[in-house]
Amino acid sequence: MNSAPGTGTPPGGAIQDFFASILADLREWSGGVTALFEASASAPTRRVVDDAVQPLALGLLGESTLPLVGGGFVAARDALADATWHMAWWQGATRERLLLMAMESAGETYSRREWFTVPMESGRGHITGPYVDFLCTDEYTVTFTVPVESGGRRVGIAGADILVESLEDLLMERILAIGSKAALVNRSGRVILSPDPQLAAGLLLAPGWQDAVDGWLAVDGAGSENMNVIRCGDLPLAVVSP
Amino acid sequence: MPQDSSPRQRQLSAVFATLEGGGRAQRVEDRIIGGISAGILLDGERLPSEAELATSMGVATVTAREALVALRSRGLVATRRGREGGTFITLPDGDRSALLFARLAGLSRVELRDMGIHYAAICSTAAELAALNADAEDAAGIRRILDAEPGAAVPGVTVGNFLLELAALSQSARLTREHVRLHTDFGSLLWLAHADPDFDADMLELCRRIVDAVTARDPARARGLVNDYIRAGVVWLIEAKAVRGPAPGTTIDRSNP
Repeated sequence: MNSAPGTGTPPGGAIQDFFASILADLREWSGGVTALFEASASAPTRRVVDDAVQPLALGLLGESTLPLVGGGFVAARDALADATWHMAWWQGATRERLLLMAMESAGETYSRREWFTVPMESGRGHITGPYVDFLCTDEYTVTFTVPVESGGRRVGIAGADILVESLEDLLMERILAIGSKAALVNRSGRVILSPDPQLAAGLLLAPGWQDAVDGWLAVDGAGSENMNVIRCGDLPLAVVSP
Repeated sequence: MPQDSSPRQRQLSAVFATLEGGGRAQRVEDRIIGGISAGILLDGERLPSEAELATSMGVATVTAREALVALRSRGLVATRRGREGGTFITLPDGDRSALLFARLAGLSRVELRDMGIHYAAICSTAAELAALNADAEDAAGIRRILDAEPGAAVPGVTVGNFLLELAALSQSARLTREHVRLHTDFGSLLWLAHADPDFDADMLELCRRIVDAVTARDPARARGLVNDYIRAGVVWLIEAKAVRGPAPGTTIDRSNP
């Protein structure tokens, strides 16, 4: 997946590769969950899912070269035999099970959120955040999710969390290579990270960057310059700079 | 995880967070009672299993069991066997307000005012940052909370969820965590005020104006409105204290002979 720098890699290519490879790993990982669903003709129970996903999740968190802080499988409505909603998610240094997911309101909690709805509706991987994750990590987080399919139907999502501060360590140099005022932004144009001290994570910097024409986004308002937009392939990310 | 989340889960996390300094059954019990009186754990809600409680709160399974036994003997939880079994909260609303009024009676006006100031400092800063940082989708998400079926939620829960969600839109994890901590402490008292339909309706209206301020990107107005809400809550609580009189056994006879 890596192309050598300076050999015609488009700007932003290194950033795109970083995120695309995480989604690719997650997709590969989710094969284990698909296999669980395809192992029997009837829907699995909560217990069967937990018993199978726990070693998978611990493997995902343990073997990744990235500092992932949580990961697992979140079921679609009525995908399991004995629960409307279910979340098999492990996180933290001690890899503890997220116990809240055993509670009734879990479905209410996750069924309408971006990290769940986008992969479920589009059938594609998604990157959500940065956001204050008061459900799992309790931290400022970015979440990667991919749909899990079995027998032609989407039975849930597989996901992993990484802290925004970890991305800072991993990607700052690559953003800086694009420019000292460049910023990596998410789907809504919110800053994930930037070397520019004025551009804090969370700042809504370039809403509507998807509408850029020939790589330039017209910015309204007096004294504001147009922004250069480098898309990260078809990921919901871009690097913008003045 | 993000937008349109249920702050209930955050509050639940606070209830079941690891106990610092030696896990003891009494502290597990106090935490759960705190969760009940704060309206985080509602009547009929299933508690985590003994093993889950133990892991989550950092105590031995036997300690968690002891706490559940104590809660059962107080009639605050009931255990059912079978496939749909588990331990459930058993608390009609009336009992909950009795728990809270007892606590209110034990607080001085000075303490109430001070709790309000602290809560307002956190909440209003969060509202200000949310108005700076939120996009249209975020604003729609918090508006949806207010448009929940009237009567679907216990009064006060809607506004509580709204404020927590607003705190998360500040993009600050620390501020959000602090908000949750204070909400469990002070916000649970405000639940008493929300049980008054006039107060609740006024405050829901005020929250709608907060959404308008966030939508209009007006941080100063968002901050001011949150302060108005908390001030109104403190006034309501002080008036309620005055009407109900002091807690039994706290009167001091200072009449001079």
